[in-house]
Amino acid sequence: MGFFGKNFKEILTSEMVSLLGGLFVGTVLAVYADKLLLIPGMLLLLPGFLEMRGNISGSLASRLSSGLFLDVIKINRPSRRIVSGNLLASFFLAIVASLALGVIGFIFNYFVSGIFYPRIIFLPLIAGIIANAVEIVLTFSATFYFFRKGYDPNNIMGPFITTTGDISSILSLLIAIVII
Amino acid sequence: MRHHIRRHLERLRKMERRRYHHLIHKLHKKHHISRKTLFYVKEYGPHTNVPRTIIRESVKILLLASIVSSVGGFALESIKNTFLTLTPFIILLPLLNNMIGSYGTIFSSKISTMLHEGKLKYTLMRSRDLRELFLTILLTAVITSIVGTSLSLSIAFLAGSFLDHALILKIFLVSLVDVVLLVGILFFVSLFGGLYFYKKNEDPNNFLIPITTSIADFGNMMILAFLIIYFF
Repeated sequence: MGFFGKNFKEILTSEMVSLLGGLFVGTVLAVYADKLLLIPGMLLLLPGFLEMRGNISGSLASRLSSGLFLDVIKINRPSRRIVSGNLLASFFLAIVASLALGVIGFIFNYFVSGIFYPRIIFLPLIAGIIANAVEIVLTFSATFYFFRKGYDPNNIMGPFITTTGDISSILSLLIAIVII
Repeated sequence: MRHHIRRHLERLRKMERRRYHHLIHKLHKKHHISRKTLFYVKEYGPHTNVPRTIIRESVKILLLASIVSSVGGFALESIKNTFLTLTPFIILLPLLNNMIGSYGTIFSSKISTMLHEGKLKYTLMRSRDLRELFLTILLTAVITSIVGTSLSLSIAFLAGSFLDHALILKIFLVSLVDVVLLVGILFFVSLFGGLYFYKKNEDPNNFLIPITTSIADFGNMMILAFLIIYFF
């Protein structure tokens, strides 16, 4: 294998791509620190909120890729039952996880910091719905696109989801703040 | 032959998801179709409620991951005032979380594959593949950490943050110590966790990835919080 072999190059390249997504989120966080990070409990739920996109869309991409490779999902005529089932489940999971994060943030604020701030429940919920509506559709289209083009989505979708997920998450959080 | 296998797979697909059938064993042995493939074919067959299956299997681990991440966030929330004055760290936090999480995933999947291939049976400490995996990830982590920290410092500087030599040095040091410590922890967790699940006849892939990504998130925020308290 060797230290500077194929593995090293592949890992370094994909890490550099996902580094850009992290850098974008970090910059937005720093620019809007007064709006985002000063919200009580925000630092508590932010890592989980950012990670959620990877957990949900990553699994979705992985399931779709397996189905495509196994020919259980046809590229030109995808089984509606499996595809819509996957999309529905991913969206539902996103709502549950966002709500859980909001509740954890609320409990922390109330019991640890002594702050009664119910908006913290709706913030990740609204942002989660917006971010996942974008990310799930994007993941679905990209997985099919890469597969159709002859690429292995398993190798590409990881950094792709991390990068696009980070961007959609942070932008949706800002939108949710404006809405609330 | 192809038609023959397809017919068997169609039969398997039509079976109830919960029912084990000897056809799985037969197809695996005779046609060398992996158990994972056969599992997928059966898992999402016509007798399965697809969304319910996915939700039921994913919801617990997803909620656990949210709780673990929040506990890590708690450490940062408790040093919020110091943290918010260090703009380069605000930029670095999501970057480090992403980076370390993906190293956990790489360790988990590579070590699981090595275990499946029988490469780690008796030569755990002398395994060349294992040593190379660790050094490759460590080297990549150090390079990406230096690049990420440099970019974060540049952005913070352009945004008007005050940065002197001592502060720059401390930020590089915190970032490097955090990454190196976590790469070491994740490697050992993946290795010994992988061996444990493999010995229990389970696929380590299914357990190690959620465990290592949660440790990566939780550990990153805890170590970062500790190092910020110590250095600043």
